[in-house]
Amino acid sequence: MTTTAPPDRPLADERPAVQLSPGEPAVLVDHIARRFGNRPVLQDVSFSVPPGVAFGVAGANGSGKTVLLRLLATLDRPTTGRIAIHGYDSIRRARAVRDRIGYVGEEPMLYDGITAEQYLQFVGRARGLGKEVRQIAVDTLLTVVGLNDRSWREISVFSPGERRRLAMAGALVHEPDVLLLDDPLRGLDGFARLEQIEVLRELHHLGSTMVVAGTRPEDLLEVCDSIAILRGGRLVWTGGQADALALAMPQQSDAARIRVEVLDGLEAGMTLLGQRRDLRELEVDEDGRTIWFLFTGDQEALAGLLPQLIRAGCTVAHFGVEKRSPAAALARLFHE
Amino acid sequence: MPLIGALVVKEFQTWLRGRLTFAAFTLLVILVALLVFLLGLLILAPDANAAPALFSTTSTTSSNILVANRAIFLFGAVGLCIILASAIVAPSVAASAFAAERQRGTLDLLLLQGPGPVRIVLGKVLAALIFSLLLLAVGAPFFAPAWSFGGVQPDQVIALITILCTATLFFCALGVFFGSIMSGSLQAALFAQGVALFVLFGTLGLELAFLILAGNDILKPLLWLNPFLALLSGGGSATDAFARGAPAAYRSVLSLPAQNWAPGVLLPAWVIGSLCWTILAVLLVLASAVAIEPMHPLKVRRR
Repeated sequence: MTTTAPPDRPLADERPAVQLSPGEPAVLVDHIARRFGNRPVLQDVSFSVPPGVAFGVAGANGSGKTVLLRLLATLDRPTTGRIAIHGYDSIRRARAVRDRIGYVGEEPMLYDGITAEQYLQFVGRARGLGKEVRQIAVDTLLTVVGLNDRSWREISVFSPGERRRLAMAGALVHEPDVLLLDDPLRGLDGFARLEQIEVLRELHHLGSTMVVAGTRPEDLLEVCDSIAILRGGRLVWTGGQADALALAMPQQSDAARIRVEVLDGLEAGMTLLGQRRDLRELEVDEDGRTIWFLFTGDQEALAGLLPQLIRAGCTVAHFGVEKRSPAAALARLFHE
Repeated sequence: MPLIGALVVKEFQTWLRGRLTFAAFTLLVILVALLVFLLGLLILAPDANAAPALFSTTSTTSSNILVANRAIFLFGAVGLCIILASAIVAPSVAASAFAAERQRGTLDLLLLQGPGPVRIVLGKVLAALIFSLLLLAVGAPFFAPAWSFGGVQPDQVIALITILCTATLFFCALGVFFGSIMSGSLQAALFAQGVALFVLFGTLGLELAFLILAGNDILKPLLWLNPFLALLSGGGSATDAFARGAPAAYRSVLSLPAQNWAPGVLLPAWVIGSLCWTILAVLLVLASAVAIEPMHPLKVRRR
């Protein structure tokens, strides 16, 4: 028998529809700083995210991404500056902001002692959703994140990927206008990573405004429209996909990016290359055997470079002109 | 109040799945049964002269009182045992439940649900209160012998239930308060239990120490917070029996007379105590709410 009683609270009836004035950003971060004691964690960070845009914040561990997302989620207070979500000030109208955001932290916020279904029911109940609407939301979200066949399993037996997907489902129960995801691909590899990226893309296509933090620019480039690089608590670069691509290109039009993979004799090779005036940006990858540089000389000089390296004592496995990927170019900004 | 209801349901789902709950439950049954058994041996001893009266320094003066009021003494003794169990169980249940939210990071999840920190704290306190009272209900069968002897008045039963509920509410609020300001579950539980036990024993000890050593009654107001004394000052034959069982020098300390708070309104100690614990519980809930809300206006100046 089915009941026809109206639900206690439809999903979005009590919340006024999002009515942003033209040009008003969904997320506004205005010169914020955050200090813990005397230690500055964020300094003069400003950006804005238009509605429907996925914005990525990339940075190395300890760069301040988590603190930034916690500030956006009203779980912490900026020392100076202002944050507004859909026009609501994060300090004075924290409750209104919380009603409009879905936040998934670095570690999924879950209760191990209950099942996935019970967890989502709890979140829906706490959000004040009626029984019918809640059940529909829970069933739909479990399907969206691919956990419908594990809904009655205890959360404690879930894999890291499943935990992340469940936490994301929990953040979506009340249909938030803005999604804040802190390193949603952390600890995932292989198929779980691809699945999670698919879920994020799907959410983006559905029109969610998203702020996604992560340590791997290549993941953010898969999902986000624009990306900011955070280094030492400061935003050092902001741009879109095209900007990231341009960043990967050599700065001089007549320069070629060269990759040399050396199996032996790295020091001798570096000494030789370091003495030349027709190359710039000489660097070695973390693997300790890949050398990158920009070569500004002519084709003849480039052709003579390989024999010189071999004569200097290098065992060269690869020598060629290469394009740096946009992700690698962005990753370089983490430390430069 | 959707968040409060959801929290209570969730807490029970979590607690009732853990083996620890059943271990604690069993331990509590054994502990209360043992205490009641020992007290029963003393109170129901065939030769009443062999049993020392409560609070008495001699064993000869109280034998008749004890024999004549077996039911009252047994009722009071079981009541005291259950209040003691409440002071141990309730703060630790509440403190560990709240501090665990912090440790898991799920306190953020609760804050993000929107209805506000007061409801989060209230939900936690109510869940811990219901759970603690259910645990303490295991002591109910031990009242049967006292009831079978006769002489226990309904108002004494009402007084005990009221004291137990409000004192447990206060102990739960204490637990949640320490859970909200401390990050470790064990640390929070120990601090909360410490304060609860101070209310039971410390208030009485301090008052007696001041009375004997300094000769003044300055700490007497603290005794209104003591659930033991509230129960013993329940009035009627119970109060008389306990007062007569105590050494004469301490009778004024151990007996809290009813207070005339309004014309024609006499409030017995258990009512005053219950009001005090409820008010303190409300204050602790508000303080906890301030402690967990990062955007609370009171926190602006500190940064």
